[in-house]
Amino acid sequence: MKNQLIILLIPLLPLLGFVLLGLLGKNYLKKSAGIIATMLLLASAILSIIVAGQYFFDYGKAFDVYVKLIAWEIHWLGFTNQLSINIGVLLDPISVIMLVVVTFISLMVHIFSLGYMKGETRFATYYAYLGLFTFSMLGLVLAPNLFQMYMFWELVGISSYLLIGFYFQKPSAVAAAKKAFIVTRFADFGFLIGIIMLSYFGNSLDFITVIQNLSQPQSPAFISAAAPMFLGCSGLTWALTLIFMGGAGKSAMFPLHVWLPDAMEGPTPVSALIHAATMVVAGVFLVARLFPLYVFNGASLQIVLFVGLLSSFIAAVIACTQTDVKRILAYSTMSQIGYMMLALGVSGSSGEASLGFTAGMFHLFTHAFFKSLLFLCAGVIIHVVHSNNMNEMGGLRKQLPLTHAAFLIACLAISGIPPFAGFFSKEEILLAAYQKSKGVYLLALLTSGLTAFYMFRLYFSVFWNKPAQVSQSHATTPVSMKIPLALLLVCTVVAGFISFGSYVSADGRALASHFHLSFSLLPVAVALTGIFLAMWMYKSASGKADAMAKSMKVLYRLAHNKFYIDELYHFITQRIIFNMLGKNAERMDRKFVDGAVNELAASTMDVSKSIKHLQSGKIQQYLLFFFGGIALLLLMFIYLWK
Amino acid sequence: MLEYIFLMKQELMLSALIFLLLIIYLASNNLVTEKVLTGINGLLIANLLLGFWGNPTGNLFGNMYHTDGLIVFQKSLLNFALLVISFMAYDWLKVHRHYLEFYILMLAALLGAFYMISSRHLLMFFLGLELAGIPVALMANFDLGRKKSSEAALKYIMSSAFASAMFLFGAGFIYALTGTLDFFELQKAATANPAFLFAFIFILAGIGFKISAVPFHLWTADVYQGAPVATASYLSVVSKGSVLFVLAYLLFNVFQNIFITWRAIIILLALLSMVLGNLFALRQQNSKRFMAFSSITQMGFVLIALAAGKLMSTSALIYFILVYLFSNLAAFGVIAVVMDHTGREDINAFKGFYKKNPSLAWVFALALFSLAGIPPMAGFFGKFFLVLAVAGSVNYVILTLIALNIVLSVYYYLRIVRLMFMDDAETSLNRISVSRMPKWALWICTAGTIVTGVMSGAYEYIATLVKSVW
Amino acid sequence: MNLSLLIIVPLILAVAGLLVNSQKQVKGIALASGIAQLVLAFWLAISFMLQRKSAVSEFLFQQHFEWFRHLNIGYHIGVDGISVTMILLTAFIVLAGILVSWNVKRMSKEYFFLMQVLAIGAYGFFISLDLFTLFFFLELAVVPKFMLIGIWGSGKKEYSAMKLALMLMAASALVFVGITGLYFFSTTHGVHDFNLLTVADHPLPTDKQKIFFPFVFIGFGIFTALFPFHTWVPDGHSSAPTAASMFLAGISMKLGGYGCLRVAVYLMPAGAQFYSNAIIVLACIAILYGALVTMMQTDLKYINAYSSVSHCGFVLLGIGILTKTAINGAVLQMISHGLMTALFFAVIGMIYERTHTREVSKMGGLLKIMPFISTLFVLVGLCSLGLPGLSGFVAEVTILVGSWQRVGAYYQWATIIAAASIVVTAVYILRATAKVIMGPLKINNSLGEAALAQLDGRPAANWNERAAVYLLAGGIIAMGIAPFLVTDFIYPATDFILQQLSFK
Repeated sequence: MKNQLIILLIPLLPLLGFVLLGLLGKNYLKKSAGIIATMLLLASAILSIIVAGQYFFDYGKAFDVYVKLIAWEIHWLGFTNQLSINIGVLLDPISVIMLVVVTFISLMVHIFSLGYMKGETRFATYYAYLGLFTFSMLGLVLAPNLFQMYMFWELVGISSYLLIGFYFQKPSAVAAAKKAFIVTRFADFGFLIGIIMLSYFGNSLDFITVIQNLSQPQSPAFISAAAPMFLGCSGLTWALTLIFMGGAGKSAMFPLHVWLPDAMEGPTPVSALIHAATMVVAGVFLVARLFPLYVFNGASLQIVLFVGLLSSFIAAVIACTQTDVKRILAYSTMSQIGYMMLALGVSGSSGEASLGFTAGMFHLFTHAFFKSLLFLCAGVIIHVVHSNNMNEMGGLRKQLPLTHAAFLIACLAISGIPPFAGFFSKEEILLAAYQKSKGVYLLALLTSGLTAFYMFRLYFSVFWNKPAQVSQSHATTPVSMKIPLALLLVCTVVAGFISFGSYVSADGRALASHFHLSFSLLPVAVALTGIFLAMWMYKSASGKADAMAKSMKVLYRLAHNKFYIDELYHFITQRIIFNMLGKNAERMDRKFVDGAVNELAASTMDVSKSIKHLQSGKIQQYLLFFFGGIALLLLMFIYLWK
Repeated sequence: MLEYIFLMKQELMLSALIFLLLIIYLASNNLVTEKVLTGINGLLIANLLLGFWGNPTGNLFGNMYHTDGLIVFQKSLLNFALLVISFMAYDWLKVHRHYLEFYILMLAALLGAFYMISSRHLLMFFLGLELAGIPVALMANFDLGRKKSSEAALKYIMSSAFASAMFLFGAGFIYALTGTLDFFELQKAATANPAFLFAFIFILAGIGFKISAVPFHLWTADVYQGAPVATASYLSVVSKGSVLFVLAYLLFNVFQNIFITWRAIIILLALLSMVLGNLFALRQQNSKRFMAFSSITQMGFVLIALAAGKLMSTSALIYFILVYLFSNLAAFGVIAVVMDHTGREDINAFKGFYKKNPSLAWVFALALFSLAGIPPMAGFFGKFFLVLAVAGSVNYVILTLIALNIVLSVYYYLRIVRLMFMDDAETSLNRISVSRMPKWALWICTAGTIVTGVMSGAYEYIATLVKSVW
Repeated sequence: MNLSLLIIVPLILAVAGLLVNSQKQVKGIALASGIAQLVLAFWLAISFMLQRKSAVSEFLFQQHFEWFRHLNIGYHIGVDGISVTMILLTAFIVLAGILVSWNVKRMSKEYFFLMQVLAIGAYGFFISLDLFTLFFFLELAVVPKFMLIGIWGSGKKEYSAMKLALMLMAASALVFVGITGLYFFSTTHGVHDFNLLTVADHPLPTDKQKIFFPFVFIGFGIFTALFPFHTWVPDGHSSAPTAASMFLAGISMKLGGYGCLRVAVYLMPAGAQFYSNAIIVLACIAILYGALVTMMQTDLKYINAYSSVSHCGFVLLGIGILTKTAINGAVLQMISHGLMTALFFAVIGMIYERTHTREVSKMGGLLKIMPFISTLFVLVGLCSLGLPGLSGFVAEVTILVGSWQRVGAYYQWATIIAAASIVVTAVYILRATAKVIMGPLKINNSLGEAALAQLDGRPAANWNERAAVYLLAGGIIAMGIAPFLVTDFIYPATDFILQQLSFK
């Protein structure tokens, strides 16, 4: 392929930024770190747009179908003759779309951080970490095989860890970083096993080969994979479920979502980049990547659907009761990702039935813009107010007109109000759900209403309501923070109009846009209901919200405490893993394993002590023993003689 | 006549030395001690060198006395040990009033040992055994002022008498059974009948006493502790070595017909020696007693090798004696030096020893490593070959027991290393200056422990010799 | 190249170090020796690669001298791909160890001498093709450890030194029993031989293999922290001075893994197959249990020592599984763990020198005052928890993939259990990182504010420390990014072991 270099440069430029700033940033490039990183990323973003253009309009299509192209590959680590990890680049519609999204959002965040992180002592380190993250994320989306994906998956995780824990002197940030990493690590454990299983069955690690090998019902690979393995499920189902477990962990799906709200301890631009637009959708991307297998397997796709639905609903409920701005956004992210999962879950393998796939990817695309916009707005707000608590804010629309406008539009977009981006993608998801199952559709609709409610609850609390009492020293927002807002705002407005289906679909063939006015009426109405409800309750200070909370006391408390899932995990880790397993293992090691060694030594000494009277110093006794020895030998000889 | 001289060159030389010393002793009493000692040492060196000249093989006294290359080598080995002991004891003898008597006794004992090694007749063997034993009892009494010393002598002479009685009993029994005491005749006459085995056990007990194999070992610690260091080192190396040489010959030649029986007994004795020696050595606080139990353990390892095939175990045994000679004498040498300077016998005297006396500490440590069987010291090879010899003919359970005993012994050797290198001194220790002669001896021994292992020459020489003779 | 140089050069320089007087000269000679070893190792690696293409035997650069002719003991040396990587590893760690101990004041002459004896033991072990020499060098490396820990160590050093020496001696005693078995029962028509290649061509009858395999395997297993004989590891490592800990975990534990592979599995394939399941159980226990115990530790050195138990469990798992991929993984893990754990100990040592504590609870927020050291701490922690791009990932993943390839639910569960440890590993690494590196600044309370201020002004790391950690970190990263550098050496070599397994 002629533009290998361009494609390779896309991930390598951020890596260069990481290495450069990581090694020299602290001492030499302290001032210019931000500019350097931003420039590198700008180049990267431009290159990815070029690549996207070339792929979609030049070489990507063969016989009207967008094909998967291995643009570049090297042998990296071999296991057996068939199984080996190759590092390479895979181009197909979803990876190209992700390429654009990741570089673009990352660029926005880079620019935004120029202002937001100004004056930070570890400014260069921050940009180094951003570079590392961008590199890893790009490596992830470009991965042509499972293991490369897993590797960059982990790298993404570690960059997330580093960025969440960026304020390393703040214990809560450290704890959150740790939690995020460990929870996703736990999920990755499943992912890893899943990969090993899948590669074992498919006899390859490459996506293309694995999918080929395992989606032919007659092939021996498939037959062995489909044989029941454990608990009545087939090996393939287990493999795909375990892989989905990895995706669920990274995408904060219930019940592995606990890390995401805490992850908001990181700098806000980081939340916008990692915990809203890019990394957290990796799970969706993963399922989409292996989509042919999921569809083919059925059972595992059901799990995806179920988990997605449940997560989106639960997150929405919890979000209604939270007061921390970023946490609300985090739960909304979780909810929206649940939506995407749901969309994949209801999708079929090709043609019209595969609307869900396109819809899910479309939502991923649009969500990236408005969610990062929301987060960046939150960043501005926090920058000004110096608090995360929604209740300490209010009436900010006058001080922050641009932010206000951006926030409002993003809220409208996420609620699914036309003509903003969210409307189009959500619409398609609901339609796909409707076609698949009415129950799913209804619950999704309800979630959509809840989404509108809690987003506008946040909006009204922050921008309307009574003015906040806090000092507002950073009243002026630097230009570098305004530019990304404006750009993202534009994207939020226009992104929905792209005919996404003609580029991205489950089987590579173009899919016509599905816009039916009659169908859209109900979802929009539900969303508007949510908005008005929020307006009624939160636009001005009133006791309505509290009264409402009181009237549903149990439910409210449950939701407010996030259904006590954190406590449950705490119980499991602290009580069971630490106190029961860890402590006892430690005790056993000291008492029994090591104890046995010491006891052996001590008892040898004891024996030595107890026989000391043999050496009494009395010659009579010596001679007696002498004689006894002879007697002993004689006895022995008699024994032998027999 | 010439043949006599030639075949018995080492014995004759020793006898000449003894006479010379007697003459000196009687002739004059205002000699300069240093000069006499230097002279004696010179003669001992000559005696040693003589051993390497010519390689006679032949029998004398109606086949009672036999010599060949291997026997000459064994005697040279003992000669060498004596020389080293003499070097090491230089300081002690220099101020001793009766140094000449000490030499006379020691040489007499060595002469006994020579006869014993060369004997091909049970009577001859017994004569040699007694000659090699009785002077040692006197030597044990040579710390004239110390009560312990005479106690040691007494214990030794009494145990020795008892052991000799047992031996004689066995020998008599054998004579009664077979009508001969000649080794070659015995070899043919030896049968596995109960009475013969009965006699054999008594003989073995008598020999077992000499090499302090458990359960005939109880005298060892007391005698080592009470006797002067020179005597203790003589006991541990020369006395034991000579008996072991003979034992190997006896077992593999004279008693080879009852191999099955003696093998079991030897294994039992060996294991007992290892285990008990180890267990007692673990907690010893007195350095000489410690060396006593250590030597009991070492004898266990030597004995176990006898349970194997003839060639391999004999070479391994002789090689081990060589190695043991270097290591044990080096250890005793350092103990002697320390005792001379501090008057302390307990091993705590070695606490923090390294700080003030690094070279002595290294010498001692290397000797202990060698005794423990840690590479690259020769002791490693010695022990390895001993156990390797036996490995083919015993099962892996016994083999594991042996191996674990080696580990156990490592503990107490390293304990002393630990005292020297890692602990702080209890009292302020002075720097000890070692005079010339002992220093040479220590150097020789240390060099020996290093060189005889890694350089395979010594073992190869011995193995070739054994192969050619047997 | 002449392999004996690997022994002769350090030996000459070690002795030379004893002869000079000033501290500067002693250190200079030690450093020269370390560099010379690294150069030799690289030279070896390159010439090995060049020569292998045309070679018939996998063992190159063989030299064979008779040593004890009557016993068929020879000085027989030669290397295959696995040994070359091990030698490289040793050279890396030796040089880093020498650099790290630059500030040893007390008895530095003896210190460097013993370190080099240890290195000689390791080199000799890795190049031996004769069981006797192999055993010789194995034991040669024990006493220097005892001395290093006992003299320059800290804490309950004498107890630990003695424990380590005795347990390792016991281990070699078992090995000894095993190799005598190999010597006597190898079916070479009555001629007993210690030569590894000869024994490999004439393996023991199966019933004898079943007897002697456990001896050799457990013996070498103790060296590599086989459960339940691992207790020397934590005490020994934590009492040892920094460089000795690096040696112990980085090299000494590899002697065990290498021995298991080269002697136990290679020479007794039937025994290996017979005991495979048992080994896997022990390895899985070591992996998970080691990780759980690590989680409860509060002393940094103990954390690393117990994590070594867990990581070396992976080595044993790979060996026990007996598939090609798993064995490759085991070798990779040895190298990776060697570099990683050495670096970890180096970093812990550097932290200890500055804070005078290793208690996790007494430290906090070190990133603020020692960014360089803290970054390395994080780096090595990440390697330990298997982050891609660093060496640990490559090795662990290879082992896991390989163990799944062995058909049977039993092995698949073993894989899952082993893989579960990566979660626990993440827990303890991140806990330690969170407490020591991150969080509010706190250092050893007894030092107080004044010491803290002084610390702040102090250079983050001296040149020697920097050089040492760059060396090791470079190794970790290089292997993580380009594993083919290492696998090219290993893979053909494991084929030979596999052949042995499949034929007999």
